[in-house]
Amino acid sequence: MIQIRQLSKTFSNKRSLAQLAPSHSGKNKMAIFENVSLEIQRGELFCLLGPNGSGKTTLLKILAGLISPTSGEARVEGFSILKDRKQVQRRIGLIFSESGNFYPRLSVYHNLQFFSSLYGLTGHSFSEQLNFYSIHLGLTQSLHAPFQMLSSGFQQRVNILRALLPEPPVILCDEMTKQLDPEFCQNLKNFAKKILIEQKQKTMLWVTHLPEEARAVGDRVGMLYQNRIEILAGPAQGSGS
Amino acid sequence: MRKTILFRLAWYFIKKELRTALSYRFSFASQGILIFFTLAIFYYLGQWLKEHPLKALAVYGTDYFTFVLLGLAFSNYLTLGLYSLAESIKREQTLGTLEVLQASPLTDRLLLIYLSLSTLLEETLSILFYFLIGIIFFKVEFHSANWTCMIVFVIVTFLVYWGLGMISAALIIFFKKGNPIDFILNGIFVLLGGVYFPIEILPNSLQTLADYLPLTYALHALRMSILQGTDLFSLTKELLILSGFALIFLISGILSVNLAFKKARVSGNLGYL
Repeated sequence: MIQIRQLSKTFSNKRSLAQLAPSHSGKNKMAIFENVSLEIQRGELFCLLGPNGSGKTTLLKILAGLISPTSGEARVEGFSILKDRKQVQRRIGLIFSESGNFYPRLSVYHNLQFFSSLYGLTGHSFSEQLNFYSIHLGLTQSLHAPFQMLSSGFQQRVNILRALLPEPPVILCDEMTKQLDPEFCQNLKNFAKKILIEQKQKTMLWVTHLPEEARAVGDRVGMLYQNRIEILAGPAQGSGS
Repeated sequence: MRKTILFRLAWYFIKKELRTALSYRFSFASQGILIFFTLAIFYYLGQWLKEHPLKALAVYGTDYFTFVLLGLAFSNYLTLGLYSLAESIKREQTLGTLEVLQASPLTDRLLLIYLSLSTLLEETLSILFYFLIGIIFFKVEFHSANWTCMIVFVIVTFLVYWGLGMISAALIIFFKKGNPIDFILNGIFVLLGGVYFPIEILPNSLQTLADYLPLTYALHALRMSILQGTDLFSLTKELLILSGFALIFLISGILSVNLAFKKARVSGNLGYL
């Protein structure tokens, strides 16, 4: 479960401008979003839409403890992102939009073994988890290849696999389909809905800038726009929004 | 976190680095070859200097080659404490894995320790190379060494450098580019710390400056313990001074790294170069 209350993030203007949204406030500060509130229930897949630079990635990184909010609070599975950062991080699987953040000369298996060990997932439990998810993500044949030899699409699958292996109750996905082919993309959406949501009751916050993807996959769809999240209706009702 | 998990995690970090290092086999082998040629140069320089023995070496009861072999082996080892952490952080930033590590349940402090471990191991191997090559090819002998005393001084001095390394790492996290600490300090330490020559041959003003450097005390104590078999009690002054340096630099290092991570989270540039 994710609870976001009155969350705001403002960056100093000294920060690299390329990573920021257009300024909404004073000379030296740039408000990315202000007083954003949102609640996502366990077993719900919430899709967050928004144009480039609207702060979607920043919001995910705040939830994942990589960026500190300027004000407000958020709780993940009841733990505060401000006071219990490590407890929160133990419960979150973050799928980054960039898939290159692995050790290129190590095999996929050794990369996954290393990153899983950070969550205490080792030995037999690791092998079981790897076996289950690598089948669903079509990676069984690629596990012993050096990471750098994989295509960008397969690297992205490994990126997804890494986040799922420790079996976190909350999954944050940052534009995870952008490097994937349409067929696998469809499989991934089905896998997310049937296995991750219905079967495993995960809480998912799926960030995308593609409205059709959001409509197809989200239980609810929200739009981060002009500093705020506007909640659209569920997929059936939201299709006309 | 339980102790067994901490050790297991340390082992995973080391394995990850070893696997990467072994994937660059030529670089691994060339390191040994480089040490051999470096020592060969100083061996023949030492042979030439035998005709003009340095009085300052009398306290150690050794020749120039053995003096410089120990200086090189230990200064390389200790310099590692200065570079390794900043280098590891820079490498993780370049690969984009720093953000992934930071998003994991690992605390900042544990992450820093684990990132240093692999290079520590690598350089421990390198120090063994120095000793082995010196013993096998250049017939160096350490009959009267007090190894316990030596290990104590290696550990205390490494802590001094590790503290400085944390300050250096904090600057990398903060400024994203190379920082002056490792470059300037390492230059000064090697020049004035007595790596290549006894500090007694320096002008008085530089000798006074050398008195404020941890490497001066570290190398003196290490050489005395290995070459003369001096015990810890006789080297109390050096031990106290180095412990003082270690305390100051470790506290400053921990504070500066905490501050750097905190600032990076506020500015949102933790994973960027």
